Amino acid sequence: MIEDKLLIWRFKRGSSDALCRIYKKYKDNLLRLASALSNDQNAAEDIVHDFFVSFAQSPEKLKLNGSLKSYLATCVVNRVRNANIARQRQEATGLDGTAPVVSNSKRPEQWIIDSEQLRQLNNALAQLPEQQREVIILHLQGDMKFKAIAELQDVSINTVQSRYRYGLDKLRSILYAGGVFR
Amino acid sequence: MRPTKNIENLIKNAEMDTNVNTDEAVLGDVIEAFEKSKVKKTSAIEQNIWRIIMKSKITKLAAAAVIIIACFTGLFFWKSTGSGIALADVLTRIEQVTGYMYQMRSTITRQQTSKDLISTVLISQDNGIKITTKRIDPNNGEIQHAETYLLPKLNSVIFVVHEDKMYVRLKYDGMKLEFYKEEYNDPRIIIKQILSCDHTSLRQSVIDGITVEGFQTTDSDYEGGFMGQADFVGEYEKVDVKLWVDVNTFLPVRLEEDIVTKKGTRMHEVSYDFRWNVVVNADDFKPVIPEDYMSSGEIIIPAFNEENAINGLRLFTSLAGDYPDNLDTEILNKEARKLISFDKDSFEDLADDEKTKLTSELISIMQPAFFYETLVEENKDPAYYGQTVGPDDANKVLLRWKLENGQYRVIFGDLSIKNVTGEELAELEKP
Repeated sequence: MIEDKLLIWRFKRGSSDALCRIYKKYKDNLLRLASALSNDQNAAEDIVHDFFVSFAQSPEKLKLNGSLKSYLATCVVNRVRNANIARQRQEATGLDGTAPVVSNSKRPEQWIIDSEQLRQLNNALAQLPEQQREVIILHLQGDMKFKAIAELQDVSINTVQSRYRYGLDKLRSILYAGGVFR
Repeated sequence: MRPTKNIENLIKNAEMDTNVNTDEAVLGDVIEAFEKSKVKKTSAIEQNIWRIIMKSKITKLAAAAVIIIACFTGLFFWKSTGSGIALADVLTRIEQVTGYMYQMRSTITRQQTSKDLISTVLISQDNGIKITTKRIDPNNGEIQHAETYLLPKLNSVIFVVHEDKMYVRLKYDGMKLEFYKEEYNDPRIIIKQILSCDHTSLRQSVIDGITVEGFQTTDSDYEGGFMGQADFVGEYEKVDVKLWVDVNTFLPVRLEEDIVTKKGTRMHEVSYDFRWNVVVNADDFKPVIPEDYMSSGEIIIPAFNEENAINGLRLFTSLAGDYPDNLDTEILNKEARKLISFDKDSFEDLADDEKTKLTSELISIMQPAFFYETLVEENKDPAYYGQTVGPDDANKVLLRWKLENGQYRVIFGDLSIKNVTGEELAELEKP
């Protein structure tokens, strides 16, 4: 998308207006993505906050092969993965004093305004195996092609497509059973 | 709708709101982090690179190699005045010369400061053009200043700036330097140019023991000389050009140009010591670049055409929100620099390909100005309305010029394009 290319170009040359525009354009999408992947609203907010701060600090590192949206989605999904691993490790070791997996940024209020529909959807997605959930969310919310997701998950494109198909089937069952669809 | 599609749409369109206060707070953190990470800027590199791209004589090369050629075609901007020498004869004679060289002394005075240069120009039909320039310093005498290589076979121009210890490699993309060479050799075009200038005969005289015949023009439409520098200082107000031709060989002996522009810049240039049929060595056209010279990367010069001009306008409006008010190269240059926030400090540290990319991007923004300049040079009756027309003005003329068939080509505010008749154009341009 030409607008994104220009935004990146300006951002890399020091334009805070361009950074603002990138933030405003993609924050909702990234929050939704992080929220669906982690099924933890607070963690999702911290992940997206920390990602944007880190993104702003090193524009020179930004190197895109595909779209900006996919790039941002990939960055966030990697952070969610790391956060999930850290959380699992923390739960497994049962250490109370373990450092938080994401920053404790102080914000005046919750960032995401929850809705019933979003909660239902995230709960349903949370019941899917992690890899299937990731494929569905990245493809439908992150606009990522199966090929890009295959690279991210380090599997073949056929595997990704299977995960997507199985994931959707399972999700359909969950949502029908929950009465979201009749 | 199939159930799978229902679910896909549900996920795709799942809406989510955010708290505005938190949005602003997070954005504040992000911008703060960004500002802290920024590197402070200085002006040194920017000045260097832009002096080369937009201020020096190489700039006119960016307006096509035709300008260097114009230096020579300037010699021919004369028609027979009924005296012993016909212009066509001079042209024919020069076309027969495979290699020649001459000296050129130039003084440019601008805002009460002046710059004196002495250049040696070597021209080879096979290899191209090489110009070696020295600057005359009042205290230190002659200082090696720069070398310019016009290399049609490589479609490149290389500019070595000794005083700044750097070099620039321009690569022409989409236009052949050979094309201009051919054009310069085409008598029909030359004669057309000559006919567009009023001129008089100066009768015969003697220069360095050679009997010469002189021609003079004071026509402000004169376009030759000064290796294109004149073009960057604005329109001519006063022109006084004299060409002296050997009555026996029909070859030029001396060219004197004295031009004052509307902006008050005065240029005085004398070309002399012409040596015809010199032996040219191909190695003379291989640029010698000392190891410690900094490269500015290869700068790609796209063709000055409608498509690139539109892309440049689109780029500009994406950055600035509106079109440039003016397509004057100097003004647009300043605006482009502001818009791009050229990172002067880090430029030096960039890899060559990054420098190439950056400078090419800057030149892309300048494309509308280069294109407009070309339209002016080709007398295509161009007009530009960027001051009053914006990207939303789909029915207003942003830029137009005349086509050979008498119709006008119009770029509208929304950058759509259409050919219209003169009557239709008049209607479109009504206030």
